[in-house]
Amino acid sequence: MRLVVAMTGATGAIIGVRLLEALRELEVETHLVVSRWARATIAEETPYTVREVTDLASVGYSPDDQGAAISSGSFRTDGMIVAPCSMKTVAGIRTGYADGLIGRAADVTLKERRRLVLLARELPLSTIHLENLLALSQMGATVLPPAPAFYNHPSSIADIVEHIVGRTLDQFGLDLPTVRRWGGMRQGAHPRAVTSPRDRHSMGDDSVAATA
Amino acid sequence: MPENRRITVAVTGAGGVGVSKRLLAALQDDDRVTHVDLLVSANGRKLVALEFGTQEDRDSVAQALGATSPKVRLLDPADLAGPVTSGSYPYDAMVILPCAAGVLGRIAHGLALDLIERAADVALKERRRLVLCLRETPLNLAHLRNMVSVTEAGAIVFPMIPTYYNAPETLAELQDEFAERVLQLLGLQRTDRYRWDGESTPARREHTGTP
Repeated sequence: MRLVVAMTGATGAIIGVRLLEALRELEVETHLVVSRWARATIAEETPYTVREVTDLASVGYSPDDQGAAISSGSFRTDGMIVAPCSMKTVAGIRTGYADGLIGRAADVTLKERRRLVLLARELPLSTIHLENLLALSQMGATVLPPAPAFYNHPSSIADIVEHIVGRTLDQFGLDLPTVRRWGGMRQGAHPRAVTSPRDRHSMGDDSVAATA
Repeated sequence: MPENRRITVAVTGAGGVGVSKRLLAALQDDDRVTHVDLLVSANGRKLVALEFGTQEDRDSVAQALGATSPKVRLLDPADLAGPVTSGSYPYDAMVILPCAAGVLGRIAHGLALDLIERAADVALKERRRLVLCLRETPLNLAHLRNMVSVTEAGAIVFPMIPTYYNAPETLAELQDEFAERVLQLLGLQRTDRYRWDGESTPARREHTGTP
């Protein structure tokens, strides 16, 4: 499998980094573009250098390289992930404003009807953001905001990131073994390690009394 | 009652920077305003140089705009990591005066290519007041559609159209009154001279010598 991965300047660079690691572990060929402002978030938010991040990919391109292989639909890939995806990138892809390689690669992905997954991160979302995201969804892109889940009882940021990365990989039929999948509501107590007795009481969890 | 208003002001590549100067003077003078973040786009600098007859560099432009108070901080519009890039940085309102049609278009589409457009994007998502003083005429269909989009998203489109009922005699008077109306929108009104009472305004009475 061959996937295009783009990192843009929204907060959450670590998600892109873990995604690249996971794809490497799964032996997926990755073609990576790191935007100007993703370089800044990598430096600001993670302990890695940009070089260490780009080394995780099979092939790397400059965000200004409009002649790169991935700028053409004739270069076959199985899809593209933008992680994290800024609202500016969302807007650019929606409007077809492909002034850089990331916008162009996404444009190509959509026209060739390959899967495009956007880890669109912004809070709150304005009307304009929502209109852009809606339009992208209607155009066939998958809008995958990197929001944490709690049913898998994460106990660290790494857990939260792992789950988001796992759900992203699911979009391409790739299985990350560390993902804790929902198998149905368990009857009985919640794991004690995660909630305090006060929390369980306020949630109205009567089953606690039975197991205490 | 003391207030601690933080205002973001952007000057972009359209005409009318004389009003920007008046607005900045008022904000610097107002004790209710504790901080102003000022961004002048590259084209905004060209317009300041053109209209004030100065050089285009950042320092000359800041001087020409009279942005000299220590409570004004000049931000680089090319620096997308600047303070106003994040909703977590608090400011109360943003004014883009003048607002070029291209800037309006990019804000309407969420295409935050520089820090000015990103700050406006942030204002909309945080539901803070965003006033766009568009200076453009005639308006093509794209301009009109973009004005509708930003209005639907919560912005106020405040075209730089003068009023006449105050019987202005000079450009300076027109600009003074426009600046005051923008300040009113920001909740920073300073004078009642332009208040219409059903028949006239104090400014009009002054100019026309009528009771």
